[in-house]
Amino acid sequence: MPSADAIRIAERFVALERRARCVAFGEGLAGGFLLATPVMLWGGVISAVAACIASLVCGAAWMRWRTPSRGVIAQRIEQLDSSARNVVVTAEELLRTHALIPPHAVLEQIFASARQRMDAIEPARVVPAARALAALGVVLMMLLTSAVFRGSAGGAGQRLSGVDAAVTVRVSPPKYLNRNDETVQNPSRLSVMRGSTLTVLVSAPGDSLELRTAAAVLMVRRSTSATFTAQVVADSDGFLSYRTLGARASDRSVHLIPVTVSIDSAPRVTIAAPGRDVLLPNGRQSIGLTIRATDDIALQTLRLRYTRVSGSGERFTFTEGEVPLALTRRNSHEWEGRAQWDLAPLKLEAGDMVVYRAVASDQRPGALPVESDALIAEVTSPGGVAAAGFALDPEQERYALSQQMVILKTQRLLAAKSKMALDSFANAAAEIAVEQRRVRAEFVFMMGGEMEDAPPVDDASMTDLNEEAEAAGEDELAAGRMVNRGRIALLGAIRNMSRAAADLTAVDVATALTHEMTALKQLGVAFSHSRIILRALADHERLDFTRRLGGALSDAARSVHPAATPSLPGDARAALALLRDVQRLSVHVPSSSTLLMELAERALRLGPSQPLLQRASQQWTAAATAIRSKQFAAGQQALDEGALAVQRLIREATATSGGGATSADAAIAGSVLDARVRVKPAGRP
Amino acid sequence: MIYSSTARLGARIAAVVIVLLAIVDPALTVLRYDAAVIAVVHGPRAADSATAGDVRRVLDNVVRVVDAPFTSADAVVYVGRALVPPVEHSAAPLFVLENAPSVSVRSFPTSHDVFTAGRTPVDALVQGLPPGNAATALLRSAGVATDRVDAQGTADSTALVGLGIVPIEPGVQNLRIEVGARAGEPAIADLSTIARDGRWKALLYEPRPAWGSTFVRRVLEHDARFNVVSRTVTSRGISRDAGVSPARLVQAVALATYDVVVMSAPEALTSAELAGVEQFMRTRGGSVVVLLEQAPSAALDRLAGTSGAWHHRSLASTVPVHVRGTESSTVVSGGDFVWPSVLPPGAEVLAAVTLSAQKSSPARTIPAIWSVPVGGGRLFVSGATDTWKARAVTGTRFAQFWQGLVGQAASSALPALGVTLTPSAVRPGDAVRVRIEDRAVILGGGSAARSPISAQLVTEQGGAATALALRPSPRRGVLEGDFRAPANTGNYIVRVTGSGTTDSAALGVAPANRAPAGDDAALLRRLAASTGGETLSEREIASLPGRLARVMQRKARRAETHPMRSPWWMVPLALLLGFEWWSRRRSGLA
Repeated sequence: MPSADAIRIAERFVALERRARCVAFGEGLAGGFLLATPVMLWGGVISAVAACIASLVCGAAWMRWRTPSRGVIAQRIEQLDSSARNVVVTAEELLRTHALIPPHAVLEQIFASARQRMDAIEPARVVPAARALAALGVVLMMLLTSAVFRGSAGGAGQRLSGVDAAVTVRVSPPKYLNRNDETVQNPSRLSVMRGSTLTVLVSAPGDSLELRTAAAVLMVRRSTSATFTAQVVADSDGFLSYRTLGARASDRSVHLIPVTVSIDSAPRVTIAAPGRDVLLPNGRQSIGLTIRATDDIALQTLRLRYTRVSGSGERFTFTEGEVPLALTRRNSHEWEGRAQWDLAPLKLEAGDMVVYRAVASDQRPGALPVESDALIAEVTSPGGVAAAGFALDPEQERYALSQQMVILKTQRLLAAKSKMALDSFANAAAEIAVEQRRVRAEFVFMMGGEMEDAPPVDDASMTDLNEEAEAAGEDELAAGRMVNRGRIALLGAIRNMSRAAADLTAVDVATALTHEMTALKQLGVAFSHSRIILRALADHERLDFTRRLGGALSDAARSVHPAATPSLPGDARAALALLRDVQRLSVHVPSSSTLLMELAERALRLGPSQPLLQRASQQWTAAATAIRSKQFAAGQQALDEGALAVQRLIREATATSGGGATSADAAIAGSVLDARVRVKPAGRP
Repeated sequence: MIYSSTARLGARIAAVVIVLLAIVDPALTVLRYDAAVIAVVHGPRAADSATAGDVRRVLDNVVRVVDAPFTSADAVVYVGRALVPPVEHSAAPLFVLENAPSVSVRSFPTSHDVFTAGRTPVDALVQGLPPGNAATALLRSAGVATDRVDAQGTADSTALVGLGIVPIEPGVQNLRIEVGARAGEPAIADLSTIARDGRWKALLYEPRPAWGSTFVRRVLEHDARFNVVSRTVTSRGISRDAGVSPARLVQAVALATYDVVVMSAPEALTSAELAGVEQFMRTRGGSVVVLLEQAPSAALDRLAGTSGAWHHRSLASTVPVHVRGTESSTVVSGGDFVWPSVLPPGAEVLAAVTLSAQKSSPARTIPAIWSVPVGGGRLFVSGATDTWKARAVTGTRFAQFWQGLVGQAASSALPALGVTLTPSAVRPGDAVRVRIEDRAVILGGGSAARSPISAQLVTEQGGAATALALRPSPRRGVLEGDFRAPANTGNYIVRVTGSGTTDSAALGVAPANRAPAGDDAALLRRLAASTGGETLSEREIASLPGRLARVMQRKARRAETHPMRSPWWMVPLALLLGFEWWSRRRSGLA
């Protein structure tokens, strides 16, 4: 039966052994972590787990190898207590082997003495753990320091490589827009107004930052200890591409932010009412005006300007003015202006007109105002013709004007007279009068412009016959010098047209019809095949023979030109070059992500405003991100989408040849069918 | 003691007998019944391969299974729905295990002329797509996505998918089409073709200046796929030429170098010129595009085979004109049309226009652009006379329209020497058929003095050439040859030389290649019945051994055997000798 001392000694030895094992394990673990630190710091998660397991194995192995036996522990105790005189070693041996057991009393003495010695010594002195603890502590500090370092500097690089890159862009719109600055964190794309200032702040490791736009490359030094700051002005569609230089390889990936620039468009303005040219019976009328203007950002001004035109022939006078409008501003970009414009102050007379247009401007600095279509308000006069050179509203119904058409319309108007109100009838007659004058004007211009026999007085109209001049020319006529029947007939037609126009204006439609028909008959006489109409060319109508092909017929010869040698459009060739580089990529190769970012930038450079290239760039950026995250299927899909977008662009720039495979079989089948058909039955052409 | 000595003696005698027999080595003649050899072949789909594995498992314990086509097999078990060559040529009883249908790519042809300067259509016929079901077809070239369209199943569960390729660079193009349905395995087919930096040769001939042909000429001169030579006769004996053009169209030989002739105002051509054009189509197999501006003369009627009665209609507003089979966005606007009362036999309407009803006529559809074979060539007639007037109308693509139509005509022209490979994308060792067409013989009855035609197989980079054996086919002017694809993965070219010209076709060799294969279930059933086999469904796999046994006869054969040559005799010898020694030891004798 072992004594209490023996039991106690055995327990002490067990405890000391356990301690020794722990210390050895700790040392081994510390050593293992020390060796595995590079793997844990720079490898991935799997590498870190593997390194931990390896360290544990190392600790266990060290523990197994270096744990001292009980005999060694006993010797250490002896070394620490020189007065023990080998009693502890003896006690250990006695406990371990049961041979040569001394007498009981001696045993008790030995065990008692050994116990006394062992109780007096601290276990920490026998199995010191300081070294192991110190080693573990050092390794732990190293790991923590590296993780923190990586998190603060290397981590930002990782974030930059992924979705949550540490980039901030402050967008400052042009001042005239009166908008606040906007700050965006880690934008995937930017949409800004033209002229906006983009302040880019990038948090990344590295000595410098390379910032590229479509127009320039900037090298940026650190503004603060944490960030790079750069400023660019967005004038057109493009991109921001940046990467750090001098950092670790894993942090030097390219990052791309497409930039879409919106343009402040010019305002749009229309005259909604009356919306067409108007004919006025006299100058004491008023016109109700409604003007509408819109703008994408904000309107600044809306005005109505007019030009008063009076006079005739070569004696026109123009007077400018502005009509005050009552403005209704629904919001900053939708305005409406109204006015009841009294024309009396303009003192318009018969034949005068006023041309008016709305003018709007927005807040773009230096931009010219935008005008609406110009409309005319004309005070009609018998025989008056709208002067050439002013834009007229297009007719609702387009048809070729001719004397025959004027007659037809007059006949229809007469037929409908009983069903029409008086003023409607008068308006319709006035419109036909305008058309009659236009037809007349064509023949007048054909004859060389002003009729020679028009009276030179201001208040006489061109339709009046100058009887004195005609009487003076009677002898010319009699002498046969003006016996050009075609010219005479044409003159007669013109005069009848004038009379018809005057009658229509006076709402004497029946009489006007007779004059119109007479004019038509005379036109028929004037343009019959036996008539020749001669007139001299005015100076401005003289032929310029230097601009006409002329020469001897014998000199005419065949001209030979080189055959055209077209090539693919430049943008198609550039797009094909992009695809050529895509073809060389594989999503399973990590370096493909960098190449894809470069391709994404090239796509934007090729066409920053082209939607298909923007899409390709966006998809290749996504593919690069997916490849970095080892999501190969998603990377392949995004790569395909980008390639398809570029292919669509090429397709739009090239032609497609229809038809499919060609084969002799098809040719032979066609030949047989053709031969059968060609054996024609009699009578078939 | 006695028993042990007897046993010892017996053991010794037995051992001696074994040794003596081994020395004598007698030969015995026995009757043997060989196990049947069944070849299990599967189709190109992954589902076929999986089901073939199930078949092997069922048959493994019953018969000897050979997992490949085997000419001496007692029977063939084929799993799949596509007719593959090993099954087609097998004489053994065929058992077809018909698994579930899935989407498949039946055919996948492309044009002979694949140019780098334009887009070439690649049409795929897809089977197994139920009516109303949709599938997405993706075309890849060298692994890069090139085109993608959505296909819809028609009433007969097929869909014609129109894809296209713009080659990135000249050389062999390895194309793959992937058709993915909502459910089931996607269909994959591969194709190899050669993209060239070539151009079509086009002659544009205007016997008098015309607006329509002028604008068509301009758009063709901007198309990098064409070398355009033109002649516009502006007056008697005076013309404006671009390039070196034939003086007149009379000389058919001079026209033979062109792929397509575009001409306007056919009524201004003489009979001799029309005859020259006709000869161009008949003997060269070229294409002619006629741009009408008015009802043509009788001479064109003779050429086109029309009856002489033509209609002419001018519309108040323009209508869209679109060539069938082209992209839906490629349209022009026209308001003036000329068309024959009756189209000639064999005519194909390329673009039809619907005219609204009038007082004198109801609404109807008229052929605005049509084509008809003339000999081996083709005549394209455009009766849309005024598309040039509306070329700036929003939504029209005047240039692409005419470039596409003339391109279609040019691609229809027969090459002097045409070579095709079937299939063109194969696995190492697969069978390939080469077909060579000699245009001159097919169309014109070439003389026997023509130079012989030879074909060689080379790698894409050049290198040693392997001559291919050719044989005449039943069709005159056509040669065929069969060979095995090389064992090494890569791109190869079959180069054919003869008749003073050359042509090439591409062959892609890769283990993952899949040739187009449609659904041939009906044909397989007939084939199985004709060979004495059967058609089964997947549910009947377990009954396969019994069905096979019914048709196979056990073959007995006499075989000579040497039983003493078996090494297993060492075991009883060792045991006997060991027993003898032990017995003697026990007895104290050793």
